[in-house]
Amino acid sequence: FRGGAELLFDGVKKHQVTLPCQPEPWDIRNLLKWIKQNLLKERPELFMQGETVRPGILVLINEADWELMGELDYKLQDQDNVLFISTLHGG
Amino acid sequence: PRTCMKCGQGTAALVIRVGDPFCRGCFREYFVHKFRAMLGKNRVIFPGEKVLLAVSGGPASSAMIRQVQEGLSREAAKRLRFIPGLVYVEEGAVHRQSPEQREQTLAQMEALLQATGFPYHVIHLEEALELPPSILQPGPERSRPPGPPGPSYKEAVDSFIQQQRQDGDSGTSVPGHSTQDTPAGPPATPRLPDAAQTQELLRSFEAAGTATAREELLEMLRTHLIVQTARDRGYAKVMMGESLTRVAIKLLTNLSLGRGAFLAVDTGFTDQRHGDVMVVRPMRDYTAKEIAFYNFFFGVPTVIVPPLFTKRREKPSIHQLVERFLLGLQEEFPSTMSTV
Repeated sequence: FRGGAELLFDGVKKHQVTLPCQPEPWDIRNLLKWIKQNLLKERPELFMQGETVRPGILVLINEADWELMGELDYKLQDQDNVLFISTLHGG
Repeated sequence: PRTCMKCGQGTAALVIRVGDPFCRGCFREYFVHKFRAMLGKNRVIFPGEKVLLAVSGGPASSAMIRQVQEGLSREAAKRLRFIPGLVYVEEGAVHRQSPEQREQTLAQMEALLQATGFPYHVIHLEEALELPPSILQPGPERSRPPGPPGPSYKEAVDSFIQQQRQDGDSGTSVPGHSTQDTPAGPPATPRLPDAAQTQELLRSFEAAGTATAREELLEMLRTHLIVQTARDRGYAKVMMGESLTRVAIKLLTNLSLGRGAFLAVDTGFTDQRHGDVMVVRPMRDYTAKEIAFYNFFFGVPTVIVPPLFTKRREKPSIHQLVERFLLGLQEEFPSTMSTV
């Protein structure tokens, strides 16, 4: 998490995460749900809006724009790197 | 993975504007070129001129520093030719930071400023309490010596290049040291303003009443401090790092606040209302997204401070509402910001 987004996660920028096995595939949509339940420490509305990220928060998957990867539908692979950069209050 | 639409070869790293995939290399060129084109098209910065860059540690102004560094180090023909200085306004008081947090932020910023090698000035928002009343008036235009009018931009550039050739082109090299305007080594005196000043500043902010008024007050004080610094130190130009996103938000916010008459100066590339000091906004064509990606890909250092304090049950400021509105609309309609 960067650009200020880390402030919502106890100031911790890097989180190494092992997702539990489950029948549903792990896509970004489900990852976000998981993050909301397990990592987000406060004020969820500052990070998420509905099932997606709040407008102003960029998502990079393996250092590439998630718009190129299918956004919420992207299926996570082992060792994938997901980065959230907040662009709110940037001057 | 998709391919870059510009070179047709590289793997696309991000989508710019409405659905244009770019690879990292082409994106970098696009970004750097835009800055040069902005300055070249507008022709207001003359060679050898002193320009004060207003930086906040945030992504846009940090990207702006990088563009200036890139521009100054280019080979002779395409090199930027002005002399930069930096100014940082420390606003920890109104962000409700403790003295320790303020010291820490200050230390991080000083490291960032020092690393550029440019002369820099750190001022505290509390110093706004001491601004002279003259700040509210436009300063006198620098008195020109009597005689023929000054050179046009093109003439100035041509004669500058000529002069350089004669002098053996050492270039307008940036001073290698950054201590011109700050003491070398650790300062002996405490660096934060004393508590009484901080209290007085906070009282003014409390008195502002609403979140909207507080944001406006902050912007006004910050701008005045920057302009005064420019005036005191002999800078005729100030560069502010407002991005396209920030400018679009400002535009609608100002309309809502009844400042429609000043839209042009508040959001345009140049702002001459201060008379002797001209404000320019070279980042106003970059979206927040482009800036964030650039900073990430190319390691531009930033210093993040938590946003302006809003009490929990207080209504958000007009600025925040407009930001939410525009960013939300931008998700569905990616040309929203640039259209505004």
